[in-house]
Amino acid sequence: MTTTVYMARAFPRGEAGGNPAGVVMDAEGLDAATMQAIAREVGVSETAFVQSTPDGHRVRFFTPRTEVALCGHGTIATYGVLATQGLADGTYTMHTPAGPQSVTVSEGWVQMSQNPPLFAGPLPVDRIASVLGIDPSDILAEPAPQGVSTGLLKIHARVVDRRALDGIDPDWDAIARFGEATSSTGIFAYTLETAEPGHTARCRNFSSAVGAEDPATGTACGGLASLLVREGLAQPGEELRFEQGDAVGRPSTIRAVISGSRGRITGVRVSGRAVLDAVRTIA
Amino acid sequence: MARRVGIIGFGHLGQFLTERVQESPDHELAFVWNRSPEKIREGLPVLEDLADAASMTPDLIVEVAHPVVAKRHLASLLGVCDVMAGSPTAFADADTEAAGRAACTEHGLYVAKGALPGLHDVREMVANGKLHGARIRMTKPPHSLRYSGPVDLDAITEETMIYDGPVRQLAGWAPNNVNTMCVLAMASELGFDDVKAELVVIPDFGFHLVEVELCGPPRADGKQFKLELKRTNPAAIGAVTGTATYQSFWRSLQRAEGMGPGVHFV
Repeated sequence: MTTTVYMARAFPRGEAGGNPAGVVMDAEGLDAATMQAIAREVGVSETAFVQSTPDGHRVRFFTPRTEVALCGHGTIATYGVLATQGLADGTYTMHTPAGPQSVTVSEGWVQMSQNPPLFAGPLPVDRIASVLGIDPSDILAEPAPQGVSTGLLKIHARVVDRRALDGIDPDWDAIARFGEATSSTGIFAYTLETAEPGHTARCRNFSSAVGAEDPATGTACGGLASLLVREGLAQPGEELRFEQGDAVGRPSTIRAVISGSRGRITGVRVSGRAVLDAVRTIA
Repeated sequence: MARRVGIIGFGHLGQFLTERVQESPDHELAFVWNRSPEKIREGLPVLEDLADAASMTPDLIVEVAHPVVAKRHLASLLGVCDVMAGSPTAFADADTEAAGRAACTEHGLYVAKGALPGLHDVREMVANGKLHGARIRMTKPPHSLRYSGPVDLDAITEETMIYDGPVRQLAGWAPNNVNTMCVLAMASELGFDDVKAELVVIPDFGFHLVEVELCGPPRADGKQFKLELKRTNPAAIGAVTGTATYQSFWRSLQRAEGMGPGVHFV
């Protein structure tokens, strides 16, 4: 039996960059072990497995190592691929292990809803600095490093500037241990000093789940957008743009809008485009 | 006629309830089940297999074992008789809650209200369709928490909000401490994702505070009905579950009767 895998990149900045994902449609007959084996063979950070439901789709995401409950860039890639195949235009419910998410596809853009955020913190600056291998003075204490989740818990740490962010060269074993100790999926480091005008923050994602740096992380950007609004560093309703992936040569832009108020965030929406690069067949 | 009670779990709370049931003229011990049956005191009626619960003719089964037991057996036990769930945090697992709510068509599923202030007001607002939002804040000394979330409680030196978000995730990180929040999530019918939870820790704090805020629907003029309730309970240093909690649970068990099918908070 062969499986067709659509290879796409989500959140590209211009036509370059973006975060690669595999998308397997018609995954009805596949069990979890088979999905895991396919994801390992595909080899990109996440591969999505899509089944149709009456109101939308059931989607499961697998890294080469394990299943994850939700994947932002995998969602954008999935619905971007469906759109290129003429199979998506409108609003759908995407059923995931992290709960149902609303996804809207319109004119090549994909917008996904995420869960209202949770905040869990603070975490000591020294501990984060040690894991990231940088000087503690390069991490700001306000807002304190803390866990934020709109579906996947990530520890968000604000560094002082682009120089500090771009210079991070972490110990991946330490990242893995940190992820396990904090029940999180790693560290999302960010600075409000951006390279591109009009962008809100510049980010790097050190994923303990993948063991590598992600070029574009939709769920973490939803979390960061929530954190910035909660801290008064951004406004509800404002379109926030996050630049990510430059450090790994895959420039990406992720957009997010928060609804509600600073004290009570009621909605998190993340949007982007996806480009289809290739169609692979796996035996 | 005495109400026959089966008890699942023979830990501290299970043993306490067993003694109370045996002493009570209104109750009779139908059985005790424990994962390690050899730990059950000699002379008590032992149920070997939960699948055989009906053979002991219970009127009420009280689960005080482990959330996993609730998850696996709640639905089938509700086919036998009324069931009282010992740990409302078990219902933070969406499948367990759905199975429990779906299975109480013949018998009642009772949930102990624990330390939730204003349960009556919550249910009144639900019945009148007036409960639009709910928030619950718990304030505790850090050493009274059993917590597996990302924050290092030993590093906390001042009043700190360590969690702000939906009840559901916190129930996973601090299952022994947030039963009250879970009762609000269920009783409000807003659910584990829409009731907002805040957990505050204060080193050497001598109290357990529970503050509940209930909101009505926003009116056209922007004003909103709001009800704020606060419960202050002096805490024994280091205690997680004290005698007062056991007594409260026993009183809930006594109330768990005659309400018919459905979910009831007692």
